[in-house]
Amino acid sequence: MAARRGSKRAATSRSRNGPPVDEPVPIDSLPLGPTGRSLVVLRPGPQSERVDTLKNLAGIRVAASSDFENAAVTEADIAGADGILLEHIDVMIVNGDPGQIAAIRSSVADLESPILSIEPEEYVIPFDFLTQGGREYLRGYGDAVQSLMERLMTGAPPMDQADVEAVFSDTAAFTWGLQATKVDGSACTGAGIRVCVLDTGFDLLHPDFVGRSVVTQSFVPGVPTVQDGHGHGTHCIGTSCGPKTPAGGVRRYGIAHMATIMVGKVLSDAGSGQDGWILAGINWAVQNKAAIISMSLGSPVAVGGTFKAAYESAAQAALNANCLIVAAAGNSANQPVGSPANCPSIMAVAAVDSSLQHAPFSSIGINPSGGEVNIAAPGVNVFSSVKMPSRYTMMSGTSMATPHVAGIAALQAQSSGLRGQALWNRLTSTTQNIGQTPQLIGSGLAQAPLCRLIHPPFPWPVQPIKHPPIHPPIHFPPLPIPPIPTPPPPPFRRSPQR
Amino acid sequence: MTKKKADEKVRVLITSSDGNLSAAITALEKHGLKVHSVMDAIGVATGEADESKLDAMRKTPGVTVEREDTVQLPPPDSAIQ
Repeated sequence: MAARRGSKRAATSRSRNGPPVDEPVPIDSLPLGPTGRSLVVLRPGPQSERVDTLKNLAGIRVAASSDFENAAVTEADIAGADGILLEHIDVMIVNGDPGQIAAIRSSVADLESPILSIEPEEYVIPFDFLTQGGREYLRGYGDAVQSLMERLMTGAPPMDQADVEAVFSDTAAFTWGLQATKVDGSACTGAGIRVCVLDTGFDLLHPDFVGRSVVTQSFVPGVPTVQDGHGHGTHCIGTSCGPKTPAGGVRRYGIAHMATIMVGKVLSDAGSGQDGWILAGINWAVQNKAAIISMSLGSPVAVGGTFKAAYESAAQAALNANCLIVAAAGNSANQPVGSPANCPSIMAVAAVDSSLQHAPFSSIGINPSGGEVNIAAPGVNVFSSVKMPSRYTMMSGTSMATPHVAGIAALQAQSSGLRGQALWNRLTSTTQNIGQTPQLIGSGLAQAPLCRLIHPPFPWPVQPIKHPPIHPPIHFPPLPIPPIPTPPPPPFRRSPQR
Repeated sequence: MTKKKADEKVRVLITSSDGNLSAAITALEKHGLKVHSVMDAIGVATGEADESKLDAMRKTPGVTVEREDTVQLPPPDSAIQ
């Protein structure tokens, strides 16, 4: 959600200060549910191979968006083609008959296939926002898509920083980070998603978390409880999973407010831990079916340094078990992303400030083979929970950016049903371009989903992801996801007898 | 071998690159590896070995042997976390 933000935001974007200026969208005229088409998510790769795969598999003739003028693919183009490949985002829109769709679906299980997933395309309507500035949200979305396409197609350089004048600040209702990542406008809750935070533990007596579903395990030898004597872990859990309405009456600072919190204490109250404790925490989280592991920890890596095989093995096993690991890029300023964030299969998170500028302390992508930054999130002056009696505090660091991504990943997991590598792809393909190089901020600023209801209901078949073999993939039964509650039928009223 | 004569012990992480962690451990135990834990879900084991044996252990095919390091957060009152 990028361009023209500076000047337009004040006037139209999600204005809470004045009436909208455009004609209202008549709700009744908006279509709902599946469109009849399918969205196929592809592994990045040569375009010809991907097009040929669809042709050979299901006889589907695919056009690429680059075949169209300015890559502006219109609804008419899509309706008139068997399939359109949006090659810049690795997504294909397919108009297929049931036999063709079944053929594509069956190939999802084939680990060699470039097809990662297939799901029905749906009409997307932000139900909850049509009455609260939803049109502005949609217009901003349209602007962003338009801007993205223009920049991709014309080869224009990223917009310069003057285009991004957005400066956020904490309000009475939300921290600046929740505003910048659109969590404030998301109806997603993270319900049903397990988020594991491996850190210094958690203040189990914090009054903002009374009644929350919490699973705990300490991996610090001789320390039987996860009680946080440091404060770092409680701050990270606050950001990723804190409440929608904090009992302390402060602004909302937490993202996945209905997620199940898994607390793995892998760092002592002095803030130190050994690789073996952290790996044991990952092992525990994977075995207990966490969908996301958040690790605001690490060690500096020198220029030319490589990742540790043990963490990469763990992260690959996690992805194969539908578990995504995000980790802090590190606070080494212009030095390389640290370990374990430098593993290819761990998402490295950089920090930005409230002007959406890369934070000067945030480590950058220098080393190859996993050493790049993958995504960015708010990490300067982040307000969140801390151990009692302080209750709340501001902290800065990539440690604070990481749980923003973890919480947003939980919302994306809930919204899309995606897990593992597919969830990774979703996160990095839904970022906001904030006009800085990937070396600093990876794919951009993490963004929360509006919250799309899953239809048809989850589970979609979630396929294991093929990685270079380190050890056999681990298969778990599908996660039990409770059915989406349907509203009770309207009360039956007998019509008056004549 | 008495304890006095023994090399300095170092903590190690064992990863199998061919998917057979238990075979890797068996092979490394011949070099004196003492296993602390085996984490099957992530394909990693931890243990302890003589520092002087690490080079020999690393020559075992299909096995990665790394030193276990310590991770340290900044102090709680540090400006950057």
